[in-house]
Amino acid sequence: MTAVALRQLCRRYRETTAIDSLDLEVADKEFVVLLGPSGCGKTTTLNLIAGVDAPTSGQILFDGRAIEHVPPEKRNVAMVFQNIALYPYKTVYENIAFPLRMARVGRTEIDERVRAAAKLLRIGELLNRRPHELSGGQRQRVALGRAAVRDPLVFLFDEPLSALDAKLRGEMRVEIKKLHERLDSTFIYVTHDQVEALTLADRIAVMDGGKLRQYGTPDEVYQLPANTGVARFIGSPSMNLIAGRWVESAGSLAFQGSGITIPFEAGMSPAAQARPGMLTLGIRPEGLSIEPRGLPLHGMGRVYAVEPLGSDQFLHVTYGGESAELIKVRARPDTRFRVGDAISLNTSPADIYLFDSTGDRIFPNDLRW
Amino acid sequence: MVSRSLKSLAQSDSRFALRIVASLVLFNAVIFILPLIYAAWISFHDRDVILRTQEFIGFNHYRQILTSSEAIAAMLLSLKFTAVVACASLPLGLGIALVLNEDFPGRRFLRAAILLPWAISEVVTATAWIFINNPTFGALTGVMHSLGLVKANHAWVNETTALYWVAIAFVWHITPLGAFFFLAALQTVPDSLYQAARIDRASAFKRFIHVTLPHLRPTVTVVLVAVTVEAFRSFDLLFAMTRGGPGTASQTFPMLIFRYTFEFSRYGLAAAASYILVAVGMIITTLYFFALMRRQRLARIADAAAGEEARSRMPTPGEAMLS
Amino acid sequence: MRKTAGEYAVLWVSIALVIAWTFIPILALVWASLMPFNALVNGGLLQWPSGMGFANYEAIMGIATINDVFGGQPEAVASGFLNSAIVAIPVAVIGTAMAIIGGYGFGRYRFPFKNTLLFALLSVRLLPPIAVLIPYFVILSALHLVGTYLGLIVTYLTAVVPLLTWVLMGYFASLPIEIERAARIDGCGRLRALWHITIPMALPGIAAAFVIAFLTAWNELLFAVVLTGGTAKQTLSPALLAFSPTMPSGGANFGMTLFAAGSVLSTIPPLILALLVQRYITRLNVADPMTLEGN
Repeated sequence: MTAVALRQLCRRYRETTAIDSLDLEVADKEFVVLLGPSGCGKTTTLNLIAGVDAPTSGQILFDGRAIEHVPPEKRNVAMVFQNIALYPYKTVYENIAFPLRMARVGRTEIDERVRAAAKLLRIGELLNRRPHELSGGQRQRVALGRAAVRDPLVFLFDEPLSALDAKLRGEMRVEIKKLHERLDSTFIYVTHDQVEALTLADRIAVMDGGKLRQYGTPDEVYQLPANTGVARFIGSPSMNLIAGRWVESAGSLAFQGSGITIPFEAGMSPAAQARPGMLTLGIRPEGLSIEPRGLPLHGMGRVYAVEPLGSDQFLHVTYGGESAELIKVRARPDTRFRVGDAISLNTSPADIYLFDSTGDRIFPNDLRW
Repeated sequence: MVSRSLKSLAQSDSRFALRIVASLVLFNAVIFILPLIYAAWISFHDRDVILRTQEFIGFNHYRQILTSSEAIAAMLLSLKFTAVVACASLPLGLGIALVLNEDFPGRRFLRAAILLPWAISEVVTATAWIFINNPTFGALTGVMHSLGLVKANHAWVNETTALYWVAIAFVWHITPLGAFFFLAALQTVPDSLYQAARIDRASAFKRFIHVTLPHLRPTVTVVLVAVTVEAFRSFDLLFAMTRGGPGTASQTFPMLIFRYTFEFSRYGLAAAASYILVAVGMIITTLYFFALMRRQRLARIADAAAGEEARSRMPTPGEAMLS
Repeated sequence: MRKTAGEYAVLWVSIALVIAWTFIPILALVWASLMPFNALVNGGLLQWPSGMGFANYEAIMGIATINDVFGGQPEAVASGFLNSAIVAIPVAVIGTAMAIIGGYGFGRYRFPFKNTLLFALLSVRLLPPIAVLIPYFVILSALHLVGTYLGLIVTYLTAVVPLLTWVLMGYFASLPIEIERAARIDGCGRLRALWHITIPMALPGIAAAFVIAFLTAWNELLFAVVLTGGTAKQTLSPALLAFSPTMPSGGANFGMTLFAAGSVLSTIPPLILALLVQRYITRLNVADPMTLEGN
């Protein structure tokens, strides 16, 4: 039940910079997900908040109080680790009880709280087992129990679901969301899985190369990616990004990329952003279709590969010769495509993203729903 | 203010570690390095046991040893012993490990039993081998004599063979350790590599050359050097088995130092000889350390090439626990 | 994977060779220890004489006496057991405790002068022990510690601690750091995390280290001879060696069966310990140069 703030936080190793001037505000009781590819600095950030790593410079504030000089055992945070990190030779009961024992809580209270946490996570019947006798999902529940049994200021999660299989991951995701509702506490959660981020977070902090790239609600990072990096990382399959420039012919504007031309009519809002010079145009795969939608992609489109997914199918389409860039399209499952078929794609002005030559978003500027 | 508190957290961990480690090293230094310094003082003095006098004589003892044919012969014998042990123990340890790595009934038992010679003291090792090579009652005489190959009381341990007998016994005693290192390394070779090699129709020999050996290379270095060091510093077995004899046929350098000390009471000379032994030992030690350091640096480069991902997954112990 | 008949033949011949190499000297020793000495001297090792039995063992432990034995002092072997235990147990306990601290410090933390300190520690182990024999002897004489348990214990500690530190350093470094971090976050200070979490996890390595220390102290000869040889505090190795035909005190071949019996007995404690920790020794990271990592 604490607001967490990071101020100009840096962590440098001898040759590399793991975190570079990170500023982040996490409100009390908020669920914030740090999202980014491996090596982006998100786990380091979590370790710094937990106190098991020390920042090179910068501040970490809990409710406005600087705590970066406080050793981990005095920070009163709870953490769930990627490899689960249960105490291997202790029973489930003793694992969950351990933080309470270290805090010298009385025996009867420990028993009450351990059983309550075990009930909350439905592991009551496992209390006498040892970690190696548990399945992956059960272990993760115990790790959650060890965190939930305390009354910490902040809960920290370091990719807690990455070791689980896809089905379990879905179940545990719901479990963690429920835990946040019940405990009504501040959660900071690290993952590289955008589905986890989008489903769990109140706000998502997208990190890359040790820097914060975007911080916003799931809708914001999905609909208004701050730059091409975020656009590429959020959404599956990722956004199609086409490098090109504006050209004018016969009084109308068109975006011209390698092998692709998109003619805009005068009233269309993206065209109002037209500037000279290189830029990147983005369209999500779900923003493309074979049916006409008002904005055709002119060029020699050919089916390169087909990925049926049951409910949908994804097409990979090549445009022109020298552009190796494949355009991904989400199509309805009922049409048959063959590799090499000529295909024409369509989009709509509302599905267009524009990024300037440095990769920052210039269009659109408002949420669409 | 802020930066000071920051430093204090990062430093408190390294100060904690430095404190516990330094106290340990200090304990060892006091008990080991101070005597070494004292030994240097002894080596520069000539002490008369009967007249109880000390006289500073500079490097005379060192000169005396370096020009003594007895000492040079002893050093050469030491190096020869070390080389023989290392050359024999390495392939033998690897061979034993390869056998123990196979699947056969009783493997677990044999893996445990193979450690026996290592657990047995060097005195007992000497005893056991005396029952093999004793001219009167040894097993070797028993077998060879009954086959009519040698006459009774054949002196197996003679001027030419004494050092080799000690070396054989030492190899017997030390090889299990190398075998265990190799076995540990063999168990980390991924089975998929062997399967891939099989699918590529590599013969057992080719699989050994192209899959097993490259995987074992770091272990080969470590075992080789560990055995070298152990052989070079060894004394007990030789003392228990031949006492340097017959004559001076197996008188290695440590044995010579022992005789200088306890048979001739030439403490100064023995101390100087010790220093020469230390110097040669240092060269071996330093080569050892450099070999390992080079491996470490190579591994670091490989790590860096594997990218930051590898770093975040497998932090170096130091980095991992705050630096 | 299935083997061909040829591969099986090679494998079983290799296994036979390994067994022969390992056990023939031990069998020779055990066989001799069961023989009456005159049978051994007259007929050699390769026979099954009458009178095979445990007479040598009874004699060496002072339970019974055998006539016609020359050389050696059977009673010194019995007290040697006691003396070796009195020396080896403290060395194993204290040495392991010190090595836990050192191994943990070196294996888990980064600090200034780490490589220098490590090198200083290890060079103690890598140098020939005989190099410090004279100053030890002189210093311990001056302190009246020659012929005492304490002198030998301190000497063995310096031999054992660097090696064990090295062994445990690798072991500590190989333990998952997250579990220790979890303990810190769960409210342990450094030492409590070490005590409650890390040491229990490192127990296999610690057990192996303990046995290595015990074996070293139990088996050592050189310093035992110099510091306790011929005294009441004489440990097992010098006591046994007194029977050796190569020793001036040895009774040529006439003590050999007693020598064998004492040798077999002396091997039992280290043997039991080595077998207990045998499977842990493979797990030690000594062979891994990466144990140096983390400077």
